[in-house]
Amino acid sequence: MTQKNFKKLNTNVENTLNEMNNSIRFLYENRIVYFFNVAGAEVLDRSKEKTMISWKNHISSRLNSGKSFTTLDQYKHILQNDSFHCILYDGSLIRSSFIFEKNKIINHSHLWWPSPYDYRVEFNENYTPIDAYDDFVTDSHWDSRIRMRSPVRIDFDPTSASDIHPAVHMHTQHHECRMRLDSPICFNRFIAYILFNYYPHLQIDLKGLNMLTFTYDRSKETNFSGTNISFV
Amino acid sequence: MALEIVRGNITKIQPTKNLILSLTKIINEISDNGTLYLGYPLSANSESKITIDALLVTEKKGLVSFIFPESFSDIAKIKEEQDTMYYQLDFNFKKYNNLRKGRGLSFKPSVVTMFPSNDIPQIEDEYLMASYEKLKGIFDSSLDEFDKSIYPVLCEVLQRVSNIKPRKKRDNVENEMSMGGIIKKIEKEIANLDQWQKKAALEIPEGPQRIRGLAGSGKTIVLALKAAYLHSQNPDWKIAVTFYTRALSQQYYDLIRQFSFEFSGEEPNWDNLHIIHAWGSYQEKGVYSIAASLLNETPYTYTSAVNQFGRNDAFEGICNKLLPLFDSKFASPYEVLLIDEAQDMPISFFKVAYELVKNPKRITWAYDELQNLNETAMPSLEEMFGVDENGDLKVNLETGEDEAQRDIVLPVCYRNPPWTLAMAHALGFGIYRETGKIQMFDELKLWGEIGYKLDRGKLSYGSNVILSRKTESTPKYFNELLSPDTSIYSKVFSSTDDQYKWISEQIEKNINEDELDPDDILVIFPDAIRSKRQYTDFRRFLLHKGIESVLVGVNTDKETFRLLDHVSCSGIYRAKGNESPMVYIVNAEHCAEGIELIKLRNTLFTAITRSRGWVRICGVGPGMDSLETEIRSCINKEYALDFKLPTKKELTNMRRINRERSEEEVEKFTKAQKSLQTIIAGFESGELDPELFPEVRELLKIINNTQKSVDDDPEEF
Repeated sequence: MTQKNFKKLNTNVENTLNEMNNSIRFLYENRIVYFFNVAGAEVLDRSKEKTMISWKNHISSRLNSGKSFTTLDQYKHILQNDSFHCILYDGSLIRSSFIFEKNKIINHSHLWWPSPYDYRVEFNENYTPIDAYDDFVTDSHWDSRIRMRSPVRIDFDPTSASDIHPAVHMHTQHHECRMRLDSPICFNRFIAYILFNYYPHLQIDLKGLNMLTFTYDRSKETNFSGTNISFV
Repeated sequence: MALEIVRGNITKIQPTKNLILSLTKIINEISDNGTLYLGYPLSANSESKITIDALLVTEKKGLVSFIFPESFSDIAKIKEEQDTMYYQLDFNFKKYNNLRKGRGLSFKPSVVTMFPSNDIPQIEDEYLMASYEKLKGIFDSSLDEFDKSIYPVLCEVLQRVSNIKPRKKRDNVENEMSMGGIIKKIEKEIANLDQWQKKAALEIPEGPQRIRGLAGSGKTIVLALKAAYLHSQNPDWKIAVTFYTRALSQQYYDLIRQFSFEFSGEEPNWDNLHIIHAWGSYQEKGVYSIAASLLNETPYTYTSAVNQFGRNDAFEGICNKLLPLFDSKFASPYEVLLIDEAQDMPISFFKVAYELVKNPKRITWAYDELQNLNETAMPSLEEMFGVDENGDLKVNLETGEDEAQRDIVLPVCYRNPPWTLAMAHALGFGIYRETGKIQMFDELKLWGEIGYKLDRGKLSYGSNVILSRKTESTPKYFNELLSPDTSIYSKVFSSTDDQYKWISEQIEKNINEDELDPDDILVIFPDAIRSKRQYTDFRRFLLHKGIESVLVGVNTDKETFRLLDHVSCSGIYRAKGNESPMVYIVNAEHCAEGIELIKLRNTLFTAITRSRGWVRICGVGPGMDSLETEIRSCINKEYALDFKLPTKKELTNMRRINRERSEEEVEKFTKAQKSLQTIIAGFESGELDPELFPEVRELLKIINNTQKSVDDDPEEF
């Protein structure tokens, strides 16, 4: 999926891609991102003007499924399969996907996979996040390296919406955990949420980040009575 | 006229000695020329394997196989042994078209059973038998006529390593003379060309062995062959092959498996044959981690070692920590240890290796001094393995009488075209650098051994010489298929973006017109610290053209160097041990000048020698200008090395100036360099007046004195 494929896409897709690639570059220049893949888009159905923005090697796999959520295998799979948008300086992974149909967003998924360990070593050519993973799984002192943090995934999935499955929800700790959110969120809002809440020590100024709003089908909103989360 | 001996696995020591004595004399007397293979692995399948105790091939007498019989009186057994041997020879050599005539062999192999005394039983004439004393009689009267023209073919077949299949089929190639077409032919030729390597692989001394060879001379193949051969001959031995670049692991598994089928007809027993990284970890076996576990130590991981000993000394430090724990009770686990990329191993690693191997310390280490990216020179044997209580070297490379070679140099470079190799040496040593050479071999005769001939001058310290690649060290296919001006190209750009743009355009052309696949292309970023950032900038230009790429080790897993339909981009450390038809060296000015120049030039040498066909050296700024000047000089000299060999004093001086430095030294240097740059800029702009700085005069005085002391050096020979 390269830039060649997303010429003449609708404005929503272009805006989202611009937002993602600009923000990733901003984080890279600020050394928060260690390595990134350029986000691209793919037309899924030209007649319906259905387009997907995603990561490289977006293929279905057992390791992408809900049940692998929180497993070390999933972290390894995303890392080694190059299926991320960025690796943060600490080895955490970020990726996002969106599907747009005409001017509406019909699906999204944002994932932050925190690094499962902490080696306090700056990555370099000779020591990359992949090396760190190998170090960890063979480290006899793994217990002092492990960081027991849960991944966070924010999905917008109106087709599965029901009373127990809010259209926009956040998974954490368990794949069946779905905390309700008000509306679909853009890449920048997700990044801001992650950095503000899980990297407070960085104190990075994100005021300049533009936040996109989306048009979406509100008819799927349900009377959810579980946990609600609001993003400001 | 001479008899060359290749000493493989010798099972019957005395008869072998006697045979060598007799044959040396006979070959001399009859003015013949040939090779005697001891322990030659003829063939194998899952039911049996045939290793010939002694196999002679000579120009006048052809192929003669010798049997040292189990019984000297059991006539039926002697006959059966000869019949089986004859059948095996006939069967094996008939496989080759160029050794067949009609339905049979184009020559008749001879089989001779050797007896210790002249007391030889009487059998029919067709069974040849002799004592060592009377062997000459057989040569004079009983051996069949041999057509001399078959000799070279026979030699080639005996030294061939079968089935190193090209990695790719390249079915998409339509134009024979496109880059894809040329590389397809080269890959096919390489598959049939392994004479030097097999000979080196079958030399098995009862002790240590050193193998030196240029990049691309087949060190990895020699070690893989050696491992497979030793394993087939001694299946109970514990044998380990080790290396530093992780990506080599898969290559070793593939090669050793393939050679094992050739030598023993079956899959190697991986319980006894270990392919392991030099370091290893708590769970993954490696030379260091095995030693640590045997000493009841928890092996360090990379990060904990870096934390304790610093990045440059991490491996050295952890090996050193083990050394005091070895004692006479330590049970060495291995019979044989084969070390690849020895130039990358720290001294203490060899000491650990020494302890891991049982007597008679069958440790073989292979290296290429110029590929060393860390130290200035390969350490001496004394430094590597130490001395015993009498002050004698623990590991000695002197080859005794009737012993296999302990010191081998591989002179043929299969990977790089001769002009590319000469260019790599010219830049690596700084032969044409205006401000002087950077490094030089300690042993001058090494030039000859690695395939250079002396066109002019004398190979002695302080002499002027002209060296060029020997024809016999260059496989023919390079001259037939490539030319210097298409193989090597350098370009200076006015900006980094211009450079990236040009390279991306060239890569697009390589893929669309030159019939190369994206994964045939390797882009090397020599600056290890900035390689990732440079790659992310460069990738924009590739993506603009719809070309996908990977940064090796970052978005590929550790063992993967190439990914289908992706251009491989790599820093120098990950590129080592790998090769590609087309290599682009980006921002090469990084290697032009600076502190730790030996390391920088070795980086450039390593980058250039990754190329099997074509290399493009690109860069920007004054650094690239000066590299370009060096490159032009080498081209103008038609890829000969025309220079004055340094005196010993100059050699020491070079090493001292260009050596690797500690982090503090680098910091001091960088600070001083920045200050000087500020001063120069101030003088140039007129903001600062040199007259106001008495220190400037002091500085000039120091520079003049340094220059004078170098010029005044007496010539040393």
